[in-house]
Amino acid sequence: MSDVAPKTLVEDRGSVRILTINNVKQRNALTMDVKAVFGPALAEAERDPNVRAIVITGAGGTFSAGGDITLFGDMTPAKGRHVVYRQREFLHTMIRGETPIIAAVEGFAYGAGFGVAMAADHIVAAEDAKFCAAFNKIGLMPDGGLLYTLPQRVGMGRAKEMLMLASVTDGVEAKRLGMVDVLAPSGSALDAALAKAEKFAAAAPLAIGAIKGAFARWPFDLESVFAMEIDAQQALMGTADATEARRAFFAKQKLVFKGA
Amino acid sequence: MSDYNLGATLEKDGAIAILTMDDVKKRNALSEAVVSDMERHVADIITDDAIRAVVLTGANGTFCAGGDISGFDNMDMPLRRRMPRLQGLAAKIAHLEKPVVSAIEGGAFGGGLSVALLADQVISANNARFCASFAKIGLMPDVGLLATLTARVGIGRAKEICMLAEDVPAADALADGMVDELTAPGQALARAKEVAAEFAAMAPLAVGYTKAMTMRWPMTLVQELAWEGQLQGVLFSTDDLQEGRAAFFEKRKPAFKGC
Amino acid sequence: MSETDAVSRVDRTQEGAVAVLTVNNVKRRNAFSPEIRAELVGHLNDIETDDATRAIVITGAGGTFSAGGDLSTMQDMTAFEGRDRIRAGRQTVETMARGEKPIVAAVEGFAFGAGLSLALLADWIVVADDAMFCASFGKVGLMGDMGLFWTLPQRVKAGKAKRMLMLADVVASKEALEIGLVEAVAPKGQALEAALKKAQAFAEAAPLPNRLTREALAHFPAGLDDMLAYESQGQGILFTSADTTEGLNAFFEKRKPVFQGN
Repeated sequence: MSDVAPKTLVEDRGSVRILTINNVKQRNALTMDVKAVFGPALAEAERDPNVRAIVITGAGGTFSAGGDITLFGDMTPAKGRHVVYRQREFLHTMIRGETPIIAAVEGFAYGAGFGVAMAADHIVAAEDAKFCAAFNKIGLMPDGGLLYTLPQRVGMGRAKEMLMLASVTDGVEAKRLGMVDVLAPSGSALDAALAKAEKFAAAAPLAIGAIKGAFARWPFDLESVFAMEIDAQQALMGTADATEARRAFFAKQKLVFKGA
Repeated sequence: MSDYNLGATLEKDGAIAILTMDDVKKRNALSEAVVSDMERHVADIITDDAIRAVVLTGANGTFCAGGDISGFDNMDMPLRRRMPRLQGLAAKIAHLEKPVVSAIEGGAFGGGLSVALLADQVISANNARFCASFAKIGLMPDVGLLATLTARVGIGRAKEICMLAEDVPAADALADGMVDELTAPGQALARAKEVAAEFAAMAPLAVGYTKAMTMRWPMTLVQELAWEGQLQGVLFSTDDLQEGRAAFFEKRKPAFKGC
Repeated sequence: MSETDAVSRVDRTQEGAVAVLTVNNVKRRNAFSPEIRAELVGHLNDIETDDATRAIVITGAGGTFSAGGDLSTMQDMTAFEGRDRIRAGRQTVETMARGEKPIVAAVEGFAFGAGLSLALLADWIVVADDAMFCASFGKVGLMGDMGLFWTLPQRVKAGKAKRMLMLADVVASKEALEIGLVEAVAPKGQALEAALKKAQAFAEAAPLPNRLTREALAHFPAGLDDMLAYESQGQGILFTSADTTEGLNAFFEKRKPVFQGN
């Protein structure tokens, strides 16, 4: 009988949902099996109003080794384009959703795995985590949204070095460069990510959604931002959460946001 | 010359204008009084050729407490009107082709932080605190903060600051790039005036056009090349360029006139 | 324009698969003249179609990179003449930004004004430990040009970038590294050696994906969907290249791949 452990583990802790890529034998490579479960799990978490923050991590002490290269020998240009094209849906869910996503990276985040980590809103990395846009080593270019996400986080010179030379960056260097947001001791990235996730989860959900949605429209200049503000702020002002929050502010009370 | 100011005062000191938000009861929140005074003073600054740089600050030991949320429910400035009004003021400050230096004591919160970051350089007392407090009251950051903050600290940190709405102490603000310099408490204004004087000594058209370009960030290469060509073209035709060249060859400081 | 001799102002030498372009007008501290511009563009165009070259190093002769535009050639001109002058420089910018081969800059001495702009058009920058950087345009009443408003914010955050552009701050190499203006610092006199080493690494990388990556990033800043389109379309045409097969074989055989560029 084949291995029946699900390729994505789903666990809720309060209003934080943890999605764990679970394909340890293949170092959490994003195989068809994994994608078939992980994609829908992410979409489901995104849709669920009781899930206020999502943590993405990998089982077995590693994040993800990237795409399934056992498939790469049997490609045509059209098939290859299609495989990458299918990432679009997943990356849209990650980047254009309304629920904040926190990546907890231990071990390797290589190739498309690196892309998944970088597509998160907030990235926690173990000191000895290793990031690598390994694509060039097998004659491919970076995908997984890295051409968009990486230059947003690190300077273009560093981004080009990583993307074109497939250099390896450890957690410490990644933090120094701003590539990740939080550095954790080896083995404790998930704990640190959960602590952060709780804060995201406690924030006003509609405001968070609007903020995340706005950032997803980067690049934006001042004028574009003004336009986004007018649309979103009007809607937010009218919410029960915003009205309640103002009352609680003046009464110096703590508030639990309802998401309405 | 001091008219009846409930909102903001303007002081002119040679080539430097000092614009001070001043509404002690509301900790310099962006009330109707503050906003309308600021609009008036900015209009004055735009047309006064003697002014080469602006310092933006707050009276009473604080910079600006942001949107006047005491007015949100009364609708004394209904949101429908408030947003475009504040954005209009922000746009005027941002598109002012004269350098602006913020001087922050105490703190800058919510819309106050947004206003502070409209400046070209941000000088802060080392005990000041910063907070994109909008999300605490169920709102999103406004008055351009998403653009200005992202350009200063990068998208990862900007998301965290905006979504979690946590207090950012001055030292972190400096390390992140949110502010440019820290001073001892009480010294932000003095240092801001020094930085403004540095700006005021530059060629006014060149520094104004440079600022205008930076306010359009991020831009593509195609846009950049077109605009740089047009603006530099104008600068090549100026007396100030010839003065700059002469000063360089004569090994002296240039005296720029703004034409 | 005083000299009409046929002396080359941008020398090209070859170190294996790396073409080295040396701006050479030491008397004028490698000031960026129309002649230098034309020769630089000429070399870059040759290199673009030269299959034997996989990476480019750009540097300056005489211990300095470039002092920028030549002030002695900026006598009175009309605004439109000024604009045309800038337009002429555009070709250099576009050739460097849109070329498909990686460029490494080696900076000794000064990279001032257009010299700074030129260095920042490279993909990766190594500098001597006493090198200095300055958008010196502002000192004479000009603004940054040669693409500087595009390149600088890709590397340096807005607060510092504004000081450099508006106040013409001089930045020394240590600070340049800290703020991300450059990628590496080498001992004085050794920037070129370090640049060659890096260029060699670029030369040994798989060339086809890097051509596509460089092309995509020339469109920075682009939206998510635009970049995703570059990724899927680019990956599509790469998948049946011989280099992909070589890369996979090398991976499974646990050896270093040797990329042919096809």
